[in-house]
Amino acid sequence: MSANWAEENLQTIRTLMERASVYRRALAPISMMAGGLGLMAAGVAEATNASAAANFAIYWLIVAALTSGVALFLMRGQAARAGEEFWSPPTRRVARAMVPMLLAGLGLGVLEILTPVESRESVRLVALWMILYGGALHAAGFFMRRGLKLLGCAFVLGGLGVLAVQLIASHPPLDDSNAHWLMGAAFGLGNLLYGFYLKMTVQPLDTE
Amino acid sequence: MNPESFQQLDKVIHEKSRMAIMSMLAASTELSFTELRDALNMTDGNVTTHIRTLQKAGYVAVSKTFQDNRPLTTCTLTVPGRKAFGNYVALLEGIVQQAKRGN
Repeated sequence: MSANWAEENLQTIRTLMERASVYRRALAPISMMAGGLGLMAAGVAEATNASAAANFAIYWLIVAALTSGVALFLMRGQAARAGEEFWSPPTRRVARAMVPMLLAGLGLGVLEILTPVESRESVRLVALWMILYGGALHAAGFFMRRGLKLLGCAFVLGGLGVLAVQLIASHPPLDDSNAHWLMGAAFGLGNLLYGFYLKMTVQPLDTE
Repeated sequence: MNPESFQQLDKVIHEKSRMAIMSMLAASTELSFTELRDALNMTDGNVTTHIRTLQKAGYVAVSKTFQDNRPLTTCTLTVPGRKAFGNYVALLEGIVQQAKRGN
C-alpha cells in the first residue's frame, strides 16, 4: 500500500460523494408559483389588450426574469430552512444543465425584439421557447429525482406540435392574437398542473 | 511513512464496494437500494451482502417502506457510521500528507 493508493481512494470518495448529491429542493411550490405567474401574466396581457406582435417578446422576457427571481428566492428560503448551502454542488449542476437552453431562449427573444414588427411571429416564438424550455427541463432532470425529464419531453413535443400545425396547415389556426394565451396555457397551465401533480403525489420535504 | 496508519484503517470500510457505498451515503441523507445498485453498477446480491456487513457494524441503517404499492428499501448512514467514515477519510488524508512531507 502506498500514498498514491490513499490519494486514489480519496479521489474515488470525492467523485462518488459528488455523484450521490442529488438536487433535493422541493419543486412543487416553485412549479405552482411559475404556473400561477404565467397564467396571471397571460390574463393581464389579454385584459390590457397588449399588442402581441409589438411587445410580446419583451413582455414575456420580463415575466420570465420575474419568475426566475421569485424561484431563486423560494429555493434560497428552502436551503436556509434545511440549513444547507444555497449554491451547493447539485444546484450548480442543475443550473449549468439548464443555462444553455435558457440562454438560447433569451437570444431568440432578443432577436424577435430586434426584428421589424411586421416580420415578427409570436406563435412561432412560443413554439421555439417551449422546445428550448423543454430541453432545459430535460437536462436538469438528470440531476433530480422527479419526473422532470418527462415534463421536458412534453414541452418539446408540445412546441413541435404547435410548429407543425402552423407550418403544415394551409391556414395556420393560431395567429399573434392567440400568442399570450398560448404562453399562458403552455408555461402557466403546464407548470401549474405539474406543481399540483407533485403536491398530490410526492411526500413533502421538511423544507416546504 | 508510518505503516501503523494503514493498519488503523477501518477494516469494514476498507473494501472497495463498501467504501463506495459509504461515500455515496455520506453525501446524501438517504439513498434507495436501487439508486445505490445503479450508481455503483453492482448486482443486487453484492449490494445486499455489503449493506448487511455495514449494518452489522452499525454503520448503516436500512428501512423498508412502500411507495406506490411497491416495496422501497432505503439506506442511511448512522451517527457511528458517519463518524467512522470521517475517521477513515481523515486517516487517508493523513497518509497523503505524511507522504508529501517525506518527499
